[in-house]
Amino acid sequence: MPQIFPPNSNTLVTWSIFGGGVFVLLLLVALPFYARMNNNRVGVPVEQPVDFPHNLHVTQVGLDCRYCHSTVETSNTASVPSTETCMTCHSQLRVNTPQLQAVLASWETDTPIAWNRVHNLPEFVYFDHSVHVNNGVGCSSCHGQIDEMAQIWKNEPMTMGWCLDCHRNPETQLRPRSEVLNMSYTYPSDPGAQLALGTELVEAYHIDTDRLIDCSTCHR
Amino acid sequence: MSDASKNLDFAQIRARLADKEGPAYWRSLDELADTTEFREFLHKEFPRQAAPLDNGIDRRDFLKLLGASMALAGLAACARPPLANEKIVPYVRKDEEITPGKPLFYATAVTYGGYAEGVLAEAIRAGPPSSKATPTIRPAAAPPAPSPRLRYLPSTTPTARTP
Repeated sequence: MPQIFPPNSNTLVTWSIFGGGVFVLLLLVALPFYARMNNNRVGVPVEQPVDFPHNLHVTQVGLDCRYCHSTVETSNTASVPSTETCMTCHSQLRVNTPQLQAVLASWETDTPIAWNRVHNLPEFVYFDHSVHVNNGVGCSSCHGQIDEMAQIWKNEPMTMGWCLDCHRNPETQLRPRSEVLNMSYTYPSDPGAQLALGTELVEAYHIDTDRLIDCSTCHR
Repeated sequence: MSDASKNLDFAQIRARLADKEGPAYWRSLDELADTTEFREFLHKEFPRQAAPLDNGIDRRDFLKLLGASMALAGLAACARPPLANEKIVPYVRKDEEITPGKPLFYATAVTYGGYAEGVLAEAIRAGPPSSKATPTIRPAAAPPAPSPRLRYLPSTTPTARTP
């Protein structure tokens, strides 16, 4: 068998040993940075085809969440309102503003508005809005202060670990049903009081805490 | 097995085996003799078996491929986050009975064997009886229309569940 490597490859070997060491070191340094990169896009406002300010509609106009997200209590999806819902008011109000032209165009040409998704759970996750809203999980618990956002961003990472934080200890997050839509709800300042309230609510709403962390609860 | 078997040269085979060490396996004396006639015959009769004999994948290539497959298997984990510009497209004019995410049930009837059979139709993510989308209802024997999906629940009295 002839010699494959020329004599100067000895140097190459030496250097590649050092190079490999440096590469591993760089990797070790880079990994924590990569892990901290916001790949999940938490807190990054999402541009929309219509410049819809949630803060104005919730705080100034005082619209109930369910006026637009009408199926949040009955269906798995909260649902994005139809153009018709916008037109309830905006057939009369602020018709001439540039922000509204896309809505009017949608209405006149009968073409839907394609909104950009902010929260996108993987297909293998089953999530039902109604069951959360009807059992004392507040809108703001997951979506944050929507009433202060001009553009909506994802407020929580929506990772499995984040889901489980609450599914393991629901009593730390629950609030009375009457407060679910309350955007400025504050939990009892004393953690003991929240625990007592939460435990009471778990019992009152018949929440089966054992089944909350079953795989099949979310992965059906 | 073949004509090649007839002219086996045992002296040659013995000579070949003499300088072999360790385990060596063969499936027939023809293979051991490895004559040109046998090779030709093998190519004609069993092209698939002939290939590994000609230029079998050696240990190094095998390990190379094994290593590469394992290294590349990690690529399956590389994906863009599921945000990838998905759109939500709501209705322009929503039908009143539709609840997005819920199937719509309505009572109707199909003729089956000449009789009207009361059925409960379930429309999933599709237009219910509306001005725009009217589902075609076929007899239970025929395959249901692909959209909207219909589930036939025969009942004597048609019952409608409101969604």
